[in-house]
Amino acid sequence: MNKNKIRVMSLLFVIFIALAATPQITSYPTGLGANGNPGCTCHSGGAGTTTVIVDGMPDSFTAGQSYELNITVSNPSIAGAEISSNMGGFRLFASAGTFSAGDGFTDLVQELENGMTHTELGNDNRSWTVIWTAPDSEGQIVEFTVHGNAVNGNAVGNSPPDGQSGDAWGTFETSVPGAAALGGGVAMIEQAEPFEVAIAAITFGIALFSLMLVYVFYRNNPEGFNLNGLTKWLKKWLTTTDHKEVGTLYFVYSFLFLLIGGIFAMLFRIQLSVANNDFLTQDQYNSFFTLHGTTMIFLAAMPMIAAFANWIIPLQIGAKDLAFPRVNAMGFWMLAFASILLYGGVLSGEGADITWTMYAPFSSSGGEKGASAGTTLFVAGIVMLGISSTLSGVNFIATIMTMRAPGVTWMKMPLFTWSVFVANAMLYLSLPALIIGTVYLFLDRTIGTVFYDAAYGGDPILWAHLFWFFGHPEVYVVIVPAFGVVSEVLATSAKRSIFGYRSMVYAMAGIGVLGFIVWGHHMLTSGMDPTLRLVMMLTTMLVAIPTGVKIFNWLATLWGGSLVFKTHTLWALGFLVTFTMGGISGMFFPVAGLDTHFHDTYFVVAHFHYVLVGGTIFGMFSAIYYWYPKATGRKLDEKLGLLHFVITFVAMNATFWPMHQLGIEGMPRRYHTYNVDSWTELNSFITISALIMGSAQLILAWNLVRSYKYGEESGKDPWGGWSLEWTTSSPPPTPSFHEIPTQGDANIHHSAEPKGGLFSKMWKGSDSK
Amino acid sequence: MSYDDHDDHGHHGSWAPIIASLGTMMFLYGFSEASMGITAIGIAVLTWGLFTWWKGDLPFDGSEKMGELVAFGTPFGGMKIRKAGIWLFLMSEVMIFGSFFGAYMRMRSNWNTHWTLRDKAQEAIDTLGAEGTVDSIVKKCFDDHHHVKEEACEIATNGLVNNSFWVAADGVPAYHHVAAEYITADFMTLLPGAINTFALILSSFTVVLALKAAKNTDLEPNVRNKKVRNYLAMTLALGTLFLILKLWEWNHLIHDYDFTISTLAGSFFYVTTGAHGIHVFVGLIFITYFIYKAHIGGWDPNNAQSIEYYGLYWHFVDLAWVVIFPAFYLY
Ligand code: HEM
Ligand SMILES: [Cu+2]
Repeated sequence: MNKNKIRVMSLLFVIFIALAATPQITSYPTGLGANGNPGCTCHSGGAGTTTVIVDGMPDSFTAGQSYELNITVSNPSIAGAEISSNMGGFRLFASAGTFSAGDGFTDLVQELENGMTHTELGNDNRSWTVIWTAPDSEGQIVEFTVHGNAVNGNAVGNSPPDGQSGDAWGTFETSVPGAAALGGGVAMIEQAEPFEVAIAAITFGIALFSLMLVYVFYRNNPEGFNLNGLTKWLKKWLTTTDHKEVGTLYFVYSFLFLLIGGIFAMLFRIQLSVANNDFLTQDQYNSFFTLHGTTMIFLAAMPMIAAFANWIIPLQIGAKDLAFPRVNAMGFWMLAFASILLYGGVLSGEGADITWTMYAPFSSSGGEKGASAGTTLFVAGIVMLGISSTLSGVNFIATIMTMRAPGVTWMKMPLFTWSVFVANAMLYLSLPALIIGTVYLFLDRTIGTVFYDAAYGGDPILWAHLFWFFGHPEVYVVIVPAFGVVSEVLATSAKRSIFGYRSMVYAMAGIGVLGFIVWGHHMLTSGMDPTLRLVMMLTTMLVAIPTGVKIFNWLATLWGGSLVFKTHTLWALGFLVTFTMGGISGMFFPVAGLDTHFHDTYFVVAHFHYVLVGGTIFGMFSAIYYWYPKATGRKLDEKLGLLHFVITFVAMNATFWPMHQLGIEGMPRRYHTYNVDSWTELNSFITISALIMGSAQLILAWNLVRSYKYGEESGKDPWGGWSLEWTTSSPPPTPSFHEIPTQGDANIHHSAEPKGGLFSKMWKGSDSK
Repeated sequence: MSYDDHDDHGHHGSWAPIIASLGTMMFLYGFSEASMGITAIGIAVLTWGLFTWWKGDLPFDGSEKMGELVAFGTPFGGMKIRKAGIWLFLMSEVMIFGSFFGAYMRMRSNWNTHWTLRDKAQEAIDTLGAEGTVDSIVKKCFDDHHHVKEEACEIATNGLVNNSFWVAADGVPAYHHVAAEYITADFMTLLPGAINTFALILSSFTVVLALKAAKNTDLEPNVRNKKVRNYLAMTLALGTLFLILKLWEWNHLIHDYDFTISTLAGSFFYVTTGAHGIHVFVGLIFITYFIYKAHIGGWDPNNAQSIEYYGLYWHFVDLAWVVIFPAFYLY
């Protein structure tokens, strides 16, 4: 074996082990441990032979009523089946209601948090009687958990150090619905164990991904299909520093995570489809939507933007590569490894459950009332993402500032380059706040600092400030590059230069500056200083001005041009519609009074999905159709593209529009279920639409794969673009330009194009100057 | 820091990024799981990655063609690209220390608690029947740092409002002893910090001297390298002195004053000065490599700019200390 092969293989081995192990890992701040207690062996016999019977459970409970429950534990393999001191006792927990001892059992059973257990004295019993009093509201389902032969169950307490030594043979769970929860005629979706679904999906995903890799390698060069060739090929991808190849890595990575994030969304949408559903447990729901949000923003949207920035920026400004190619590759690999940390513990039920906003003090505390154990790894992953984005931010800004070819002056730079410049400037100046915030959080969780612990005078609101000082610029980081894409696409499709170039640039720069002084609008209800609240309210409203300028410029570009309807044009037009609607719903929040009602309701969810899906994702899809030919030399299939667009556009609106209404009616976000039956109708509709939207992305996946081989050849400049990326071959050589090119003038380029489309006929005065 | 020679001679890959990232991940993983083993392996792998990175830049004998690109266009036209990169990187460092600082000042100024406090004073009037206005109660019961003046407060309100009323209030801080209280009270505790301030400023100066020597075309190569080595060695010595004194002072604060990381002021103090210390440490690693390069005669006026870029970073670390020292040690 040569050195390469060893390196490639050992790296791959480590990565695969990590991939396979990650989702099951539990991390305790103080040590390593697998979840699910194997139990001790002090009771001969064991899991299989212990029987636990609970008598007296009602089919459904009536509010406030008391029920007498008889618990019997037996195990024939315990020697002689006699009473002996090490037969173990029981523990019974309920998610609601209260417990007390049954008649004559006051000395034999005792209370523990949310449940009952035996006493020292009651340890020798084989059956016990307890009273469970039902909670006052009938509109819920109460979950019961029973452990038979629970050693040390009597050492009251539930967390590993004080009591539970882990022995719980014969555990079982059951649930009892309240009369009202039954009575409303609620449709129960058939139970599937979501963890199993998720495990299957992810294993399947990894297997498919490996197969795909091998297949792509095979197709590349069927003759060289052997281990030597494979390691060489893998080495190329693992060590590449070329901006186009790193761009491809970013793209594949982001697309994969777009699908994974989508799977999470669909799982918890199923949970929300009807009232009082129990498809997912609370913990699963919490960690699924935490990972959904984090994945979509940090592992799907941002990397996809980075993919296009990597591919296109050097081409557009006429540079051979980025300023620091190795730093660029490092940015990607930091991101790739960070995802392993983020996913720690998902499958063992210990995944982070702190939402993408990671609010302290919940996130900074552990144990019963705090965030689950995987959170520590998750926070470490966020720190790593911060490193990754800082590296790539510095790199892009340096590249754009120093490597523009002659003719690419600041005021003639293509708008996509401008948008990436503004976005990265915002990103790398705001990230430090997040990095410091998460480092504080990480240290609070690991070495015992008290930054966010109010008991020591710490300040949870500090977290919110640090997070949102980053968080608001972050939402612009993901939307501004989409602005850039749409500007390019609309101008090219309308066969003219963009209307109001200068005002576009100033608007983006204005958003970039304003974006830093509005973060408090996410905290209007957090109890921050009222003066600051007023300031944030006013500055937030100001942001609408530059955003409005951009929208009108795009409309004016269409008006004066002659539009051709390619798939990328459709996505850009779709963007205009949905993004504007998202912007309008955004204008409700800064009004502090209204926000008091809207905050943390589905109205917010509707808002940010309109801007993120209808804005960022639509923009990126437009970019895919627009620049795919540049990267591969072949166009994507336009028919499949149309199908993909129509389904996604309709399903997207069907999914997110009704959320406005639910939000106004007060449906809270981040709750794993609801008990208002009248919300079921809209929610089921949303779930179905979401499933449709998710599945439609497979069309895109198929199109990407198919067109790579069978797409129509595109040549240098399939769409009539003017900027420098269209002057090199498709795909471009490496380094990307043999000679530094000189950029021409957009207006001159476009005035040579044939005229006479729909819009210029409508507006006679247009000569697109 | 991004020490990157731009490979002008076509495209070749590098193992460094993936190895270094793997190392970072293992380090963070080990740290989270409190597993010293994995943490140590992580650091080793990270170091391996960085070595791989440097090995890509071999040989150090001055024969290497750095092939550094020069920027064109505004605003950096004519400047070497790496220098622009360092400046940009330092901007994000400014934000890093800005965040440390903002958070610390927020704690010190009780910005967040000021109006909570007034709220609570109102409650004392409404529910406990304390006499006076919100302003007068706040004034009587708190000093300028919003620390409760226990006795004065009880007397002023006829015993109605006692300390536990305030402490029970969410957001009203318990009294924090800040580091400066211990440090300024005792000359021997202040001394290391004061020496450190001068040590860092001096070390910035020796870096400049090293750069000057490296750029001096009048010198023989071996004389030049010797000078560079000596100046850089001084910087290394001063930086090391800084770290040693810092550890000594931490030790003193923890053991003699029981000022630990599990108090709020302690968290801010140790994490901020610790982060600064890590910056110093990273700087020292680079400088060790530079000294080695001088030792084998690697410096000449054509590659001296690396010392300049390093100097930018080192001056920044110095500057950060000049702000941290008064804010954390004296205020
Ligand atoms: C006219 C422009 C906009 C305004 C005035 C605006 C305003 C707001 C406000 C005030 C909130 C907080 C609502 C609450 O939690 O009660 C919010 C939430 C949010 N906005 Fe916007 N927004 C605008 C554009 C955007 C854009 C362009 C994006 C991203 C592409 C975006 C993404 C988000 C996200 C992700 C949240 C939810 C954050 C969370 O998890 O709590 N917004 N917006
Ligand atoms: Cu915002």
